[in-house]
Amino acid sequence: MNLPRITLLLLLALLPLASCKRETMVERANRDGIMLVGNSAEPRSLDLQLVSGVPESKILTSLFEGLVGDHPSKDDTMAPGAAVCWEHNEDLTEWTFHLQPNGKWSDGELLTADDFVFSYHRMLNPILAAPYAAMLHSIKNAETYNRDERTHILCGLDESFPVAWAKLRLANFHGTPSAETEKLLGKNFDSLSHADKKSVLAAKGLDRMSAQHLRSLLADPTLFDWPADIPTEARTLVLQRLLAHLEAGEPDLFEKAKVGIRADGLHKLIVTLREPVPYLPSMTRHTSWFPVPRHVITQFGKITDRFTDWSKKGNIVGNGPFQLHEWRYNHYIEVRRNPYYWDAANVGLHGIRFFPIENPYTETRSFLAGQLHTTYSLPADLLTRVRKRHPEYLRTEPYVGTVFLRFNTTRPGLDKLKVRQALSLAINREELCKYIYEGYSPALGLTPKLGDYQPPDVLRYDLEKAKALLVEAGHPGGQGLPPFAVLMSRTTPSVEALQAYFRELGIRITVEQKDWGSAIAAQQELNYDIALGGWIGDYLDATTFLGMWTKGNGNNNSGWSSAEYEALLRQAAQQADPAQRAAILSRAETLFLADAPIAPIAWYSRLYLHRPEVQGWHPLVLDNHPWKDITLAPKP
Amino acid sequence: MKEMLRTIASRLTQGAIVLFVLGTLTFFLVHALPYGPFQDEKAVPDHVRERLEQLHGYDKPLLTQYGLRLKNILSGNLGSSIKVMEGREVSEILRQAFPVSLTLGLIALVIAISIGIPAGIMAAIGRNTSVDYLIMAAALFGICLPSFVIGPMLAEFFGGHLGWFPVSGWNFGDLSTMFLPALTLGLGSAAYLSRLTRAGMLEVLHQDFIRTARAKGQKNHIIILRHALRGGLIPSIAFLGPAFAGMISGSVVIESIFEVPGIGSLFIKAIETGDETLIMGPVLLYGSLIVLANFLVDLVQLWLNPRLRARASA
Repeated sequence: MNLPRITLLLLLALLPLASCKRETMVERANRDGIMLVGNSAEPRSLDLQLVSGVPESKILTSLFEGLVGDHPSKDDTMAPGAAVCWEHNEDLTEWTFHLQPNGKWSDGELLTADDFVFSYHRMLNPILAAPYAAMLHSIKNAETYNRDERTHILCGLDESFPVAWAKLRLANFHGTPSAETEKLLGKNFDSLSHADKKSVLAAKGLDRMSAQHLRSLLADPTLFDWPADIPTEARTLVLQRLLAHLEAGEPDLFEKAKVGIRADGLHKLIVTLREPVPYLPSMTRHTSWFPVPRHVITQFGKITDRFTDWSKKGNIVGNGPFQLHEWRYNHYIEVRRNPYYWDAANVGLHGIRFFPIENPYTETRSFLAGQLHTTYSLPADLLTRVRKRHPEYLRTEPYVGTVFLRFNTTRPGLDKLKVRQALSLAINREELCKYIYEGYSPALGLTPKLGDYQPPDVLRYDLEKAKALLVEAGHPGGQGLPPFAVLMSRTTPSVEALQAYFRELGIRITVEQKDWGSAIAAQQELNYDIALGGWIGDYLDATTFLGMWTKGNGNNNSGWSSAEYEALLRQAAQQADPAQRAAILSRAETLFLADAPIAPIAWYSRLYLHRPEVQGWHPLVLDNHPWKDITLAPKP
Repeated sequence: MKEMLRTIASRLTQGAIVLFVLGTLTFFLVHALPYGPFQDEKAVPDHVRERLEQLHGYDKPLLTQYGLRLKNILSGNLGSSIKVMEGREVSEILRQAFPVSLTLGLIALVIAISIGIPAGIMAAIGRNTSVDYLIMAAALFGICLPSFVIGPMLAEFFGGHLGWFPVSGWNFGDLSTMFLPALTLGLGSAAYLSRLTRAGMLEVLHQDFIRTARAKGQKNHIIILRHALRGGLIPSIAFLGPAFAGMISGSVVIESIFEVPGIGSLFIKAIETGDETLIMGPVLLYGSLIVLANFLVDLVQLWLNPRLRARASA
């Protein structure tokens, strides 16, 4: 019986390797001044212009700093960041940011206004294809440049061009592709018939034609339909300029596009906007407005290169209070104090370690075992237990986000306004927030409370009215309505509650579960009935919630649009007075909610665990806690 | 000998074919997904998506893309991640993550063998006694309980309650961070191994040559260790090859429970986002491992089992 005995002994010998109860990671980190942060996911990259996720932004805000900083305890108070101060002209369309005179990159290089110009140039560069470039579209001509609208840049923005842009803009620039032309595109253009050539060119549009297309068109002007009041010479000139641009190898059009961003001296940055943006300082706190180091990026590649090594460990250089110290894939990222930071003397922590713990249960377990100072999220089903056993760690704080049901307004049944209204009225939001979305607050509208903005308080639970609406819609007791499928990518008990609510109306709900990618694709293709979703705001203004419901917006996905609604949004965009602007937006939201393309359910809260020794961390609705203001003060 | 070499060569060729089919299937299945790597939770503008498709060659016909990928992979270039770790070389990502999965698998294997095989032997020797029943009941329990139940239980008890081991994380310099995930991973296989070892041992212990050995007056532990074990372990060893490959590849759940930075979680994310290159890398790596593990098991069995050797050279 030797073998088993030896094995047992071996196993017993393994135990003491780890046995004695030792100092927890948090205790050790407290001594070292390192904060341990649960951060949910491994960042896709640290190139801040190519990523947009929340876990990435947590790390990026420690490594980089925007023009305006976050205040540690007040959401709508701006703190100095890379800029000391800023001012604007009367109608809020021109902003001047005065940079920190001793602002530096973490390698000691001077941070100048030119670096910001380079950063926004890169962010908007159409070839870089930054997914979040639209955050910068309120800069004058930025959208035109970002979308590579060549004719507009080469002709429309050229004051010497014989035809005004107002007239020229009616031409076909973007093309009208169809399944038929898709086939023709595969064939040799020169061998096509006149009619086929014409449909290919119409499908392409002026801005996307190849040199071959443009040459054929110059030779045979009948291949393309122009608005009648554009004279022939102007048409030829447009084609010639487009052709010259292609023949020159499509040089960068940033200068010609006259994007409203320029440096005046080393430390003055001037931003010209296409419309008044009273919340611009708040918006620059989003990572998409952060600067990137020109001298490092150009060392590792061109401005348009997506896959260079500049953002890797050893190369990356930032302007934030911390710099990258260690990046161990899927294990942790550690940042340490940046000695060149302009306010380095006031940085409280020595460093921060971000752990990409995706499983929230594992994260909670790690926190309770003393491995983390703060967690990313607490699973709602652990709330009761934590409340009972560890109330000192629990945090529930409002967050700029809304959970809602999105209706596909092109589906039979859901295309009827009264049916959608009835569904929205049948949802008992108080009850849902009490039992399922614990810690969340019942949504009164789409936009949660943000600064000046008062959301219209319109959503109610009224079953009788809902039933009456169904009768008016011609579906008493749900008669004649098909069962609707609720699309989701993760199981949640809220769907059972919704089934029960809608059953009261006689409407049957089935569950359609798809994986994450397919669920998104189904929504974008309007291939669903009802989808359970949500939206997290990017900045403190109602437009971050209201802007997405315009026609053709990639995040709308409801099939709903309204000219009146869009007119109100445009009106608000032209309005410089904050109070009036908020009033117009509130009207737009009222109109939107009355049309019910979505049924808001609850306003987000962030549930998480947090250790009391972390000082300088206060509730913030955007949840961007400025890392530099945090200190660790363990109780003796 | 020549015949044995031929067997080996034929196994290797079969392995290459398996990998080729595996890669091809993976490529076309990923491209048949209803979603692609160029979409996001928040809508990606059309001009951005077009540009990305162009950048990654997704604008070319599918067969052209397949040809290019095949050419690149055959020349040893796995490409860069398209989405999850955009721009990072897949080989670099695997180089970082694979040692973790491999170490975890190896420790789990040691645990599985050192628990499972002795337990199986003890159960076989004490057949139909309380020792046997106890061990087999424990084994059945181990097989039935999934790792997502055992894992948190072990973490809660040894990590949270006793504070002996960290409940999550991984550190190559610190064996204690590896113990709980390896134990969780190893226990399931240990259970299987004990049942297989018991069955194998029982079959051998009834054979004539064991009776002869006993008749010669050979000591019991010599009979068990020298004579019976060699034959009795054959089923267990056949199981070990695929089990080991399974342990390094099938640890997704455990990686999530203990936050182990291995390949599993990466692989799941790659599938969720349709990141073709990052799916292909682990698929081919694991495919090769399973092919290799089976090949090694074949070799060990040739060595252990004289009948197979005779057949190979006949």
